[in-house]
Amino acid sequence: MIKRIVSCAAALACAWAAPSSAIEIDPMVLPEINLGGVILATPEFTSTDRPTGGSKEEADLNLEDSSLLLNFSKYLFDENHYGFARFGLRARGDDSDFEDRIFLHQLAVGVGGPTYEGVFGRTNLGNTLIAFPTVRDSDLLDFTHVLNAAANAEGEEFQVYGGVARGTWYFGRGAWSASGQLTARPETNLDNLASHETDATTKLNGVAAGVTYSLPESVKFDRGIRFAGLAVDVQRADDLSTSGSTTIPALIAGATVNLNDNPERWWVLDAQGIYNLGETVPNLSQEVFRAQAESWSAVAAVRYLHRPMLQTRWQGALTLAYKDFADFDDAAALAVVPSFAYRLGSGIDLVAQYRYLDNERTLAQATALDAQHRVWLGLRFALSGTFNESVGERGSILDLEHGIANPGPAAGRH
Amino acid sequence: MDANSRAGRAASTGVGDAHPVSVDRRGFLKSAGAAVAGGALAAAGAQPAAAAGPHQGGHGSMMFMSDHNMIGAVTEPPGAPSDDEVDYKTFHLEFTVFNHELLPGVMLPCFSFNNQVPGPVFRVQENDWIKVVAVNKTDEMHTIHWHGVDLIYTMDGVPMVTQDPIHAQETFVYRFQARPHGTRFYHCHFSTPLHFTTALHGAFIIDTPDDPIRRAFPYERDYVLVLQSFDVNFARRHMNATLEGMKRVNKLMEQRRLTPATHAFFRNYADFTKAIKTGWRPPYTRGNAESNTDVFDMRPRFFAINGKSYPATVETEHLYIRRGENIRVRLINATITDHHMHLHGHQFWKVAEDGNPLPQPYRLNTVPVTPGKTVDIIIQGTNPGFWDFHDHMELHARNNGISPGGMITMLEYEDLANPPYVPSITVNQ
Repeated sequence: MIKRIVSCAAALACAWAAPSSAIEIDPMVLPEINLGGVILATPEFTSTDRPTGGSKEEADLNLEDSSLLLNFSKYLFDENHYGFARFGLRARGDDSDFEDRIFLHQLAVGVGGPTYEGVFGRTNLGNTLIAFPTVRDSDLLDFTHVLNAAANAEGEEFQVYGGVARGTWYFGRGAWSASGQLTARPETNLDNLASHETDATTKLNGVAAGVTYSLPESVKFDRGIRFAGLAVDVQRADDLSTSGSTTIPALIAGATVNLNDNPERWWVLDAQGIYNLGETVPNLSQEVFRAQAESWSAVAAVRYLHRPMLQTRWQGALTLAYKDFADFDDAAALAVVPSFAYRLGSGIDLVAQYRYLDNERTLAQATALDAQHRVWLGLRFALSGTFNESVGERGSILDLEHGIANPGPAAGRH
Repeated sequence: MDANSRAGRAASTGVGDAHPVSVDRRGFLKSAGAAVAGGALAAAGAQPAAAAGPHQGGHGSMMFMSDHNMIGAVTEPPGAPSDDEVDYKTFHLEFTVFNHELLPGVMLPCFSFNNQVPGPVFRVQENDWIKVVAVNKTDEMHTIHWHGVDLIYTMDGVPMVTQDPIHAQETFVYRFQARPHGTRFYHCHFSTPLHFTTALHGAFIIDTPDDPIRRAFPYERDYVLVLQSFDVNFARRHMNATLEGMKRVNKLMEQRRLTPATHAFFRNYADFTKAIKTGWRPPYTRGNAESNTDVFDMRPRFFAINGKSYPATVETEHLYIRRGENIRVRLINATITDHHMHLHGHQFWKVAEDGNPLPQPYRLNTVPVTPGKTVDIIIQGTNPGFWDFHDHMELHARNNGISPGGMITMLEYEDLANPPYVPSITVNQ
């Protein structure tokens, strides 16, 4: 009996000394780790014509869109469902109103399964549908995205990323999805626009919903629609003419169409339209005015991918963009963007792009920009890797970033 | 025997159960019509290569025709007697993409024969003429190699050595004589590390009335144990990459735009080096761009016998014996690693290796079965009880690293009246 008591006492002592996690059935499960990143460096040469006459030439080295991404995921107790956490750092652009050099553009957590995914945190807002063949998605941001009606600030940090609480349901063998989300776009102080304050706060200030049909190129190369989407993006923002608040809905429709069915010589058409029902604004001189004004935009791109032996070697593309502010005369903008990407190796592209931007008189005077010529020439290095694969990915982690040669849906999926 | 309907679980197959039956009329008519079409295609395929000479690379292949399309073709290679000349026993096999349950909670995405893991067991008599109508229901290419069978070389199933690979929706008819007798097996020989291991393999048992092993050790029951290992994540990753890539290849083929270089097929070594000099890049030079299909990343964490990992082996893979009985166990290694099968409480006889009877049986309690090998053992019912039979490479007796699991089954005496201890199940020791 004494021997048994001593034995029990020793066992209790050992249990007491053990770390608390030892009592868990699953003390530690190593997550799957997805590593991704892009380094994009482009010398840029810009010539801007002023509406008042004269022009200004600039030369920059732009590192914007360079990023580092990490995603961690684990199965839940049911192996059909998973949880994930996402973390991403991004270099800001020189012309951004965001003040820090580094921006946490991905900081989100979520759960998912074969037919659904929920994500909470900061990530892509989902205010565009199509990835156009431009070096950066900011190159045609005013045309391709629903702009932030709550911030008087430029830069993707204010326009592309924000807080979301999003649920997505996949159906039709995963080709179709429907999503709904609450959004929290960064807000700046709009009381004194002349001071151009860009300190941002984040509050829930919008809702959005959409339906998409999407088949990846790997399984869809017949002629015809490969991606199509329809979305509504509603923002709640300060009414700049009444000091109250207002609701501004925008509609987005887009599609990617395979123009032929030859995966080695592949022609693709991307098209998207945005109609922003807008609010009355006094003029177009501020970013927030242009974001809140009634407007419509249309963007279309034709691209050719040269892929002998099914290996992409180069892409040539031409993108046309047009935007008009309905409440103002002579307030349309036009952009023409030919671009070229030459693949030096897997994920390593030499990129070149020219953009001609033309603003009609009213818009030119409001933005102090009549016409602009801009040339990009640079190198893009993209990496991705997976460690301890156990859950699998819906797509590459690089889907979170804009890619010049990735036809189809805009960034934001993973 | 119609392999579709008959050959199922490998274990506990009675020897008397070994005779094929004729295919049904509908299946036979389908096959007969296909054979006619296949003849025409094969003849067309021979035309461009004929000028190159019979021993020149690519002779007899369709792959080097500039506009070849093998999607949906029916191919009957030359070299075997026609249906009129011999009495074929006909089997039907389909290559499929399948989700197989290894054990509760673990699904294996894999290629399979007839949605079975392992594929159906063939049981034929020595010198039977065999006709296997193989239909590819996947987007990937396949072949069937009849491992250890001495057959006509055009039926040996090695892609671009003895035949063109079987393309999506293509039907390929193998005909050969089953010999020599013994424990043989079959497996896909295309992209072998993936296809062979997950899970295009199965047992091909050739019986003979004059079996020297049966004479030496009279037995009524024999068991086929196919030893398997699986890296579930690698299989999923590799299959996804392969099937996505092959959709594009098949699309080009349908459009009659597929070039040999895109397919990575070359008529001879000179054509291969010429392609490299003109800009074609072999996959093996692409470094980690191909890491999602790198077989060196394959690390099996699940091990199985006849498609089941312990404790799921309890349901179907136990070996049953009675006191005084001999049973024959045919071990087939369908993995790329060694397995050392150990039987508790018994000394068994190793009687055959690679299907061929040994001149002298010898006694063991642990037998190594290396990749590509088959080993036959005779267990004698001399020690009643419940006895572990498992891979003594203990890392293989685990599920995802957790013991016990994997390659464990049991020798169970059926005539134990009132055993003092009966096994239960544990999966976390």
